[in-house]
Amino acid sequence: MTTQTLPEIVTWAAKTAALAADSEEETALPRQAVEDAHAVYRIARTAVAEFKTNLEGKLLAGMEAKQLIAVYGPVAATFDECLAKLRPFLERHQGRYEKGELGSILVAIERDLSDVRDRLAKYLAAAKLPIPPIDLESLKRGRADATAGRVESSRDILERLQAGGDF
Amino acid sequence: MSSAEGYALEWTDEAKSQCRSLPRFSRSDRIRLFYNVHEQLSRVSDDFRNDPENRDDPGATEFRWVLIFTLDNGDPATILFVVDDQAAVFGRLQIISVQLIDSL
Repeated sequence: MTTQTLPEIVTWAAKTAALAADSEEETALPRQAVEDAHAVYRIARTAVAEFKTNLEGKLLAGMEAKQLIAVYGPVAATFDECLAKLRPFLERHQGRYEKGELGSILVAIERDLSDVRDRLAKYLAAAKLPIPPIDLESLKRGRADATAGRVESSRDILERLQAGGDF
Repeated sequence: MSSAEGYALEWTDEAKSQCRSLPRFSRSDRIRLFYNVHEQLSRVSDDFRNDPENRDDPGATEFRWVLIFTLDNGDPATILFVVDDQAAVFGRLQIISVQLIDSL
């Protein structure tokens, strides 16, 4: 499952929910249509959940700012597209869903998407922060350290950390 | 040397000192930061290093590398690393200075 397929799945899910809502009752829909819709909704929720897990892992590991924008900027736009499709529909039919009905599952999908979108927005904002002027005094001290050989390799730091020391 | 093999990183005393005094960073945050940088900066691509946008001027011996990091409390923090790559051809990068841009 990729994020590229999410808009299609969510759009499909929204259309099916619209059909259910327009029919007033799910029971008015052909049984096969309801079963198919439930299956698609499960796929949509799983897709969003898997994406979120994967995203959290990436964010925990840290990402270079430009790479983060390149990878997740388009994803955020995709999520916006999904939410733009879902929200008007959900607003029109607010409060009409019984627990377990297609519409109520769609509400949950909207909530999941919003959560992930908000998380992404926070990180994209962090990645887009303008770089302030570099601290020239710190740079001077760092360069002097490098020239004088006052450096430590990552390997040595790693050994110290593994022995319980601090960074 | 190619970035695929991974560069050996060296930290100046100044860079380490800056990391130790990053505001809002716990000891655990600092250690994770080190691991993150160790894993990722050592694999920085040649394209990134050669991109003039990542240097103060095209002839500069240092490039800027910005990491978006997650603090233990779940918030992002943006950290700037100034990295000297004069010895990149020998497989070595030196982290000269570290600066917290902001944490939201």
